[in-house]
Amino acid sequence: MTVRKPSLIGDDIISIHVEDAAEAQAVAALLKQRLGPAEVEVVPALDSVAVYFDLMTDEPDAMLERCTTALTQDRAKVPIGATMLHTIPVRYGGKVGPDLAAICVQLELSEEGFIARHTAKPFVAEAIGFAPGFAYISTEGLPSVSRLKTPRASVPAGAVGFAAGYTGLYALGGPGGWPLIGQTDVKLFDPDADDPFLIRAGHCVQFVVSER
Amino acid sequence: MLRVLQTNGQATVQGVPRRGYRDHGMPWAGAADAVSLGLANALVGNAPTASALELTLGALTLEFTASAVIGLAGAEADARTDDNPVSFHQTIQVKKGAVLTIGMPSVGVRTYLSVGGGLQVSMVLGSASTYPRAGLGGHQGRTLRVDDELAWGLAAKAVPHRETPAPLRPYLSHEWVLRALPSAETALLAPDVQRALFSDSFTVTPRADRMGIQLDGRPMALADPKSLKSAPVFPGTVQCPGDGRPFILGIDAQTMGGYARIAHIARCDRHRLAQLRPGDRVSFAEVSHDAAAASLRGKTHHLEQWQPGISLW
Repeated sequence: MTVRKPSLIGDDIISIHVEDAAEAQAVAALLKQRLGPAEVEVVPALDSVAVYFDLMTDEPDAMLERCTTALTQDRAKVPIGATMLHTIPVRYGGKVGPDLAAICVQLELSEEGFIARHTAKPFVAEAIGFAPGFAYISTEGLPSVSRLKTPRASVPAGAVGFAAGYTGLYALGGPGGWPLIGQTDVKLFDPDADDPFLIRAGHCVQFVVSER
Repeated sequence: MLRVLQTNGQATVQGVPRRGYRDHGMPWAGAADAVSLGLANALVGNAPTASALELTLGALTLEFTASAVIGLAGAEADARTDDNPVSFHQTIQVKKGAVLTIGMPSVGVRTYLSVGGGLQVSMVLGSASTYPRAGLGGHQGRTLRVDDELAWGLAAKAVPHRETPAPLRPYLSHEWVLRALPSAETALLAPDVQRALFSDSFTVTPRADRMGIQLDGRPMALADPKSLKSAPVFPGTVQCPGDGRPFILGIDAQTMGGYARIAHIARCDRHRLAQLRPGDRVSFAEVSHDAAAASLRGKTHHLEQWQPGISLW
């Protein structure tokens, strides 16, 4: 596992390159633990992790040092909770999944065939981003389709999108550029909960057909 | 209560950013001009980050159904209470039933209206600030509309009359020099393009809002154009999209982006991004890390003499 030296990419941002999303999550969890919750934000992405720190209270060189030291720790020993599995019932197709039929035509699958592959096994949420709680779930076994040419102005919370080899879960309603294949009623975002976002990077999601 | 009589549809309740959830895809939001928010709040005895109204290009008329103490800072515009002109940067007493009208600024973009006691809205994830794209925070998660009513908390017993000292009032113009540092992909620009980035003058295009500001000028392009994996971005990140027009991310910036990160606006100058207006000229001055830190601390300490606890973000 090659993890490059942390470097400054702004006056108050540090970046660390990693191999892949799984390593990004492991490094992010480790840094969160070591750097403390107060004045930092640790953000994992697909091949890097960024650390925002408070320049009023922390010197850049000291922060780089703390990151470097933290990264020498054995990552395997840090509990990262990455084995969380969520079962997400989905109402596929119809009014709530208006693009499913077109996707099936493109992939030369029946709707049943698509759904069978989509619910075949748990998939990993590789990253969260682009919108609050929006989860990128790497969906093996189903080929890529492209995003909508014109995004929808409004997509409901719980909408299930499918594009570019990922299933995208819209935790919050808002504009959406992903083709929609269905809808889940599971509350993906609850501002009053201790952990407001249900799905974190590294969690697994098992889709199941919802009882209508 | 204050009741909205007229609005240009771009006013939101803003205070401190919503911190700690960028790894969940949650942008910071909050007042785009942290300094002007703090100065407005200082006029009415509020804590520096108390919720206030952030106006975009002015144009707001409010009726006060109760007397209040208010303050105005940021982009200056004609302001009146019942046809009596009122000034920015000083404590204003408003009588019950008065109508406050704020016009459009000719320089800068964002005006802050504070009310003694702070605007009362629900907190979401530790912040009262509005993030309209996700319908979160502030007043029903959206910009204000006609007939909206907002309440405020109990003001300090006796709010002394204050006037912001002239040296502390941010200087707004149509020409901006923003202190900036190289970022993750700056080295991927050809040397002459890198030099141009930190010396050329760019023009703010009409595509400018809380999410970011697009600049026109010499096209910026990577020496070897390649596809980059989405990486974390922050307010202040300067992106290099495919069309060559640098894009400075603003306070509502999304958390991840796939464009090259070619510069980063120093924290000491990020509050100024809120005042960049289409047609304004912008250049980036490269500063060292030491200089960026020193400038931030200097500016903050200077302002803290006037408004304890003020913070730049």
